Parts: sequence; structure tokens; C-alpha cells
Amino acid sequence: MAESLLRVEELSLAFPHEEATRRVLDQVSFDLYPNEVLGLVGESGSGKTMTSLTIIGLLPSTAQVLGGHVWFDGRDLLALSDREMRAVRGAQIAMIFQNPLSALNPLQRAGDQVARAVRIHRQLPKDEAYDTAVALLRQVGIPDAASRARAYPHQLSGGMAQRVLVAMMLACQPALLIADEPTTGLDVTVQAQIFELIKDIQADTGATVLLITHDLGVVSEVCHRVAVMYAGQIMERAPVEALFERPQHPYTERLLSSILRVDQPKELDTTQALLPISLDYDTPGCRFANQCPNVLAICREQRPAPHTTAQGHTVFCHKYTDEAP
Amino acid sequence: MTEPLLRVENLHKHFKEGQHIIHAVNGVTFEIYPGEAVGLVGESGCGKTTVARCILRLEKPTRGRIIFDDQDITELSTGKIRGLRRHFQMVFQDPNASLNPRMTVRRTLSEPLQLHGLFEDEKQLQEAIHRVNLELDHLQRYPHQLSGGQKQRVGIARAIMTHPGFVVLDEPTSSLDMSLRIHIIALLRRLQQELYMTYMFISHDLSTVRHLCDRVLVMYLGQIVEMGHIEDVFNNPRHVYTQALLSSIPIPDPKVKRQRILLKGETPSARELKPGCGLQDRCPHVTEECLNPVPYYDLGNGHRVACRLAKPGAQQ
Amino acid sequence: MKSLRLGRRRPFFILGLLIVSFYIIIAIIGPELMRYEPTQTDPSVTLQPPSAEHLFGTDKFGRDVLTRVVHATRLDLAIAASVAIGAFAIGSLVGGMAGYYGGSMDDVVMRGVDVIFAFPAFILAMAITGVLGDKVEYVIIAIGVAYIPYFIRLTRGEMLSVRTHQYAEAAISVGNPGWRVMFVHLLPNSLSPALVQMTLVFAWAILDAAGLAFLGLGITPPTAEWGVLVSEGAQRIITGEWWVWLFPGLAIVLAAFAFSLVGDGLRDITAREEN
Repeated sequence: MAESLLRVEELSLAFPHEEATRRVLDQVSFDLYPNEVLGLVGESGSGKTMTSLTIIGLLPSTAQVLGGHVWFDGRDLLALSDREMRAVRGAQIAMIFQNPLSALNPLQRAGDQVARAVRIHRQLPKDEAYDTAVALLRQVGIPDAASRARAYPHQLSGGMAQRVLVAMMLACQPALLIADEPTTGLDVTVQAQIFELIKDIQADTGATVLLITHDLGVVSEVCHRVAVMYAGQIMERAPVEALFERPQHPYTERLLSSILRVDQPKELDTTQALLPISLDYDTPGCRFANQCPNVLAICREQRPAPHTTAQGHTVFCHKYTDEAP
Repeated sequence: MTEPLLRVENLHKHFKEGQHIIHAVNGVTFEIYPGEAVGLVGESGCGKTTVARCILRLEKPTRGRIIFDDQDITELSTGKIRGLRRHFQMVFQDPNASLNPRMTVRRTLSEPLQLHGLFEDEKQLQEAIHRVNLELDHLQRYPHQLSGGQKQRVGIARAIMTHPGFVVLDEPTSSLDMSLRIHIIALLRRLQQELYMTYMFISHDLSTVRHLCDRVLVMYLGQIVEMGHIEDVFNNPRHVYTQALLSSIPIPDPKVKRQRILLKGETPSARELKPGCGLQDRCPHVTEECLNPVPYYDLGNGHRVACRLAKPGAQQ
Repeated sequence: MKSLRLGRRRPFFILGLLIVSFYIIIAIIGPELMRYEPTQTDPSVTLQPPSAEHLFGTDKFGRDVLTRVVHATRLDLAIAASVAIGAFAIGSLVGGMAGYYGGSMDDVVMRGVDVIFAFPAFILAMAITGVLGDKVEYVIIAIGVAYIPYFIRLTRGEMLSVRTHQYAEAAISVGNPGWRVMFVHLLPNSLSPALVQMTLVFAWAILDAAGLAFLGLGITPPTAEWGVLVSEGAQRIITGEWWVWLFPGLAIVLAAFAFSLVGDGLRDITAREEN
């Protein structure tokens, strides 16, 4: 078994909510191995973005880490000071977000921003850094890179801006790249281009990617392995083919039944779909219990232990752990 | 042969932006028949939302005609249009923004009835609430006390209060989670049958279009590049743009291998209009012929394509 | 409870509310509780320091200072309320219309606002009182005119922002005429900053009314008004009868201070809610 690059272990996180606190992450655990793309999949309120923010140390000050570890390069990132974390950020772990235009400095030209990242992380002199920056822009598929480097962010489209951010990330040469819904809001043809780009870069540089998304189509195309989250808990972890062909967790099954596919004609069957009910963050047990078709009494009382059903396929469900009645 | 409920003839809409003119819609012509659900699809900037707004007279067309139920509404005064609005309504895209934060659901739903003199009693509100699968208790709530999916249902309820014959749906599911979309689409289908409505469904999400619509119009840079019945267009797309669009959509199934058609570059701005096909700078099969205005080729069964490759015997 | 949390986090706001409530109670029932009349003179007890008989002492005509201060409270709060509410109502309506309809109406309104803002509020009030005369109604108008532009600007700004919101368009789409969209849908959503400003204008109006009266404009003796009382008391500073000017002075300062605290607190609260 390969050594994992990143290991999230029993991570629990709470936020003040109305008069009390809310456990937005509950004992989240997963591994990320070198050279793979791991998809962290879930809908609103699943906690996937909170997980990524915890890893990179960008949580708001009101967040309370209740427990767990984030092991990276032999250290627990949660135990690092702000200063130490700043050294990790960018150089070893880099992140791109949705809404790329807001991540760029509106007052600086695109090329200069990439060049600055090159200067800082590769310690090159100014001229060389700028040339490297233009080369990176070319690498991420920006046509006419030399002249585009002189553009300001507001002159770039969403797709271009996201490519510039990918270039900045390449400048940092991080070991781990986190991409949080990088194509939300972009046109679907541009989306396809960005994901082709991520796949190419991953193949060329061997980068490790944690991809956060709600889109199972994207997961199917880009990811090697998947972790499925619901209401702050991990439901299932599996290689991508296994997840789609042999989903183990009732939530995953329902999620797959809820999706409308463009390649399938008009049959609409809502009987197997997820119910639009509110998420239960207070139960001591499994948070999917309220709408689970296979619910047992124990589901509401106790969080299921992980159960490995096949190579690399782990599910958190009492259906499997309580085999003996 | 039934008469169309809506006829759009050679619709143009230009916006002035400082020195530039934005050609949002450039000569769009189509018909919608009673009882149909027609999808208007395309990416950002293609003009689909502008077409819808012109049809509902939320904008005034620059050129062309809008004929609703045999009445030319293109030049009607705002006062006369207002009276007609009970017959054509809109469901807006962002449920968080399209409901007045200071009005209860009850007020929001009663208003259309009151404005058109159709308010009789509380039962109308109750009926509407139940139709969209909400509870009576929701009537007294404010928008911020509702979830995204619930708010969107209120938006749908508001649109059907006056029992309009025609409803424009502007990306009604785009801001919702994937698992909610199936419910809203199922609801919309049921409502269409229950209330005998005709839909115009605007979306960039082709998956939802496929499950709701009978026909589809594909737009690019202010023009319709392909139109036809859903199965014809989705199974046999003939315009390069439609092919690229469909092939870009990731399928949630690792077994399906994609043959992706990637267009070069990005959508040009709608500022400088070149004659000929809007895709000329990006299409892998562009020839000289494409630089001239492209006619529609008829492939039968209402499937029409503005692309030279649809000509019988066309060479790539 | 949400209100308790409010108290712990915003002690000054609560303090301001308490003081304002106190003033309002005094203004409503105070005068009826007084033993004396505000203009009741008694030559035998002129310029007496505070005592059991006269808690705030008496002035040079033997009038009970406490009674006069309490009656003045009613008058001053009434003036300030009329100014604040009047300026708020007129300014918000005009501002809302200017913001919604734009065009030449907007231009005219904004130029009018510029003209009024060119003058310091107090000077303007002085000028108007000088022209119109010394009745209470004219004082209200004089002070109010200077504050109307604040409300015009605030509401116009909000209106410019909310009219782009999708629910404004939805209102048109269901069949609302333009004026109803502006009045029923958008204007209520544009009033937050104006409401906050109203409490601050209340505080300023108190100071303006008192200031005018102090200078002999607007309200004049023997009417009991804080500024009048301070003016009468000013003559006594040198001679040492401190109670004649101190109590009305404190009343002014405390009132203005309390309303300002409330206004600031409201501003913080509405700003936080928006975030």
C-alpha cells in the first residue's frame, strides 16, 4: 500500500449557529495518494468546502476544530502555527477556487501576477521569472500568451482567468493541488476545456489533486477515486468505476438516481431520488437516517464504523457492519 | 394544423454600451405551439435570456415582431401589455433574488390575482401551495425562512397563479442542488399537464432540457444555429456548435468514453458582428462558404440546421 | 434570547434606549404630574436654589424650574419628532422617486439637494425662521428643510441599488404598474438607512431648536423650551444661580446624546444584518 500524501483523520469541525454550535464536519477521514485525482463529492451542506479550507488553513476565525488530524509531509497541519502554515501554503499545497476573477489582483497584469509567484517559489530573477510566466501561460493553453500576459484581469474571461490561476499554481510547483468547484459559473464548453487542462497537467507533472465538486459527471471523467460526503459525514470512499457501478451506500445510490443525464431520454422517476428535506446535524448517528430506505434503529444512535467491501472500497453504513442480526 | 401560440419573427435586440453596440439578438425566428415545451439553449452571451425578455416585453425589441395568440404585441403600450400579463408569466432564475424579502409568501402569491382582479378567496392560495408541494404553513413565512428549493417552488406558484397559458422559465434549476433538480423538473411537467400550459424553457443545462422539452432551439451569438425535436437534435446534432456543446457535458458514467469536440478559443464578444456563421473563428471545419450568411437546411421533421455540413453531400 | 444577547453586546445602545424611553414618558405624562404651571409666577420665591418645594429651584420670576423643564421636554420632543418624521417622509418619497424614475426628475432633485447642502443646517434654519416668523410650525419647517436632503440622498441610493434586483422585475412581470413597483415593492426595501438617519436627525433637531431659541429665534419666552430656559439661565451664570441654566442644559445634552446612541446602535445592527 503506497504511502499517502495527505491523510485526513477523524476531522471534526463546528461553527456557531444561531444560539448553539453546529458540527459541520463529523469525523471525516480519507487518504490522498501521490499522483491521483481524488474527488470530494457532495451537495450543499455536505462540508466538502469546509474540509478543503481546513486542509489549507483558511478557515474563518469563528470555526472550531473539535478533533482530528490532517497529516501532510509527516506533520499535522492543524498543529502548525500561522507562520508555519503560510510556508506550506502555495509552496506545498495550492488551491484554486470558483469565481477565478475574484482571486486575481485587479490592479496587476496577469503575467506579472504569475511572474511574482515564480519569483517567490522558484527564486528566479525578474526577467527570467517573467519569461517563465509566459511559458506557463502557454502551457495552460492561453493563446497568444505573450500579449495576453499584459492583460488585466477584468479583460479576461472567466475561463482565461481560471487558466491564469492554474499557471500560478504550476509556478509554485505544489505537491498537492486543491481545486474547489473550479468551473462553477463557467460555460459548459469552457468547463470541458479546463478539465482537459487539469487532466493534462496531472498527467504531465504527476501532481496530486483534490477536486471538490457537486457534479458527478466531472467526477466520472476526471477522478481516479471518490469520497462521498453528506451533511458533514463521509458516506463512502471508492475507486471511480466501483462507485458508479457498485454503489454501496444508500445515499450514493439515491444520488445517482437523482441525476438527470443528458444521454438518456425522458424517463423521470422520482421514486428513487433523494428527498429535499433539511439536513440533520444534531444526531449522534448517521445523518442520512432521516431519509434512508434501509434505516435501522441503530442508525440514529451510533455512527457506523468503516467497512471495506472490496479493494479500496469503504462504506460507512450499518447495513454492512451489522451483518449478524 | 393548430395555430402557433407564439410567433417570433426576425427578432433583433441591440444594446448600447458607450461607443459600442452589443448585438444580443440577431434575427431570431421561431414558433411555439400550444401545449409544447420548447427549450432555448446556449451558453452565456448567446442571447437566449434577451429573447425571453423581449417576448415578455420586459425589453422592447429593436426590430422584428412578437405575435402572441394572434396579437402583435411588439409595439403595444405598457398599459395594454400589463393587462395581458396574466396570460404570460415568468419563473426567474435566482429564487433568492426574485422574491421580495419583505413580503410573506401569502402576499407574493395574492398579488398577481389582485392586480388582475382575479382574487376570490383564500382557497386559490391554498390550491396553488398544494400544487407545488408546499405546506399551508409556508404561506405566512418570509423568503429567508425558506430553503432554496422551497423558494423556487414559490416562484413557480407565483407564475401559475393567474393560470397563464404561456410560461417562460429562465434557468429555474441552475441555482439548485442536483438532487433538487429532478423534483422541480417533475413538478414542472406535472403542472404543464394539469394546467394546460405552454413552456419556453431557457437553460444552459442540457440534461434538464432533455427531460422537460419536446423541441429545442440552440443559440449561439444571437442566432439560432439548430432547431428541432429533442430526440433528433440530441441524438443527431448536425451543427458543429451543437455537437461541441453536447460533447462537453460530462456524463456520470465511467464506462462512457467521450469523443470530445473542442472548439478553439472562446466565444467572441457580441460587439463586432462578422457576416456569416458566428462560429467561423472557432470551427475546425470552416471554409470560405461559412463567411457568407448561412441558410437553414431542412433535415425533415422540423429539424433545421444553419451549417453547410447539413447539406446533402457536404464535404468536411 | 436574542434581546438579552443584544444587551450584553451593545450596552450603549440599551443605555440610549432607556434614556430615550425615559424622556418619552416624561414628555407624555410629565406635565400632568407637576404641581405648578410653567408660566405661574411667584414673586416671593424668586431665584431660590433647589429645595423640597422646588426640586430644580426657581427662576427670576419665581417660576418652578422643574415644571418648566418638564413642559419643555414635551415641546422639544414634539418639535424634534415632527422634524425627523416629516423630513424622513418627504425626503424618502422624493428620493425614492428620483432613484426609480431617473431622468430629468432625478437631475432636478439632485440639484435641489446640492443647493440646500450648500448652507449649514443651522444657518439655513435661522434664515427661514427669520423670514417666516416665530411660530412653532415655522420652526419645524425651518429645521426640517435642512434635513430633507439627507433622506433624499439615502433613499435614492438604496433605490438605485434595489431596482436592479430580480424581484423588481418579477413585480413587473406579474403585472404591477411602474409606480406600484416603486412604492409597494422597492421603497420599503430602501428605507433602512433612512430610518437609522431619522434617529440621528432627531438628536440634531433638538440641538437646532434649542439653539434657535437661545438666539431668540423661533420659540420665544415665556414659552417653556429648553433653549429659552438656557437663554434665561445664561444671564445667571455670573450671578451664581446655577440651577436656572444647568438643568435645561443637561436635558438638552442628555437627550441629544441618548438619541445619538440609539441611532449609532441601529446603524450597527442594520449593517450587521445585511452582512
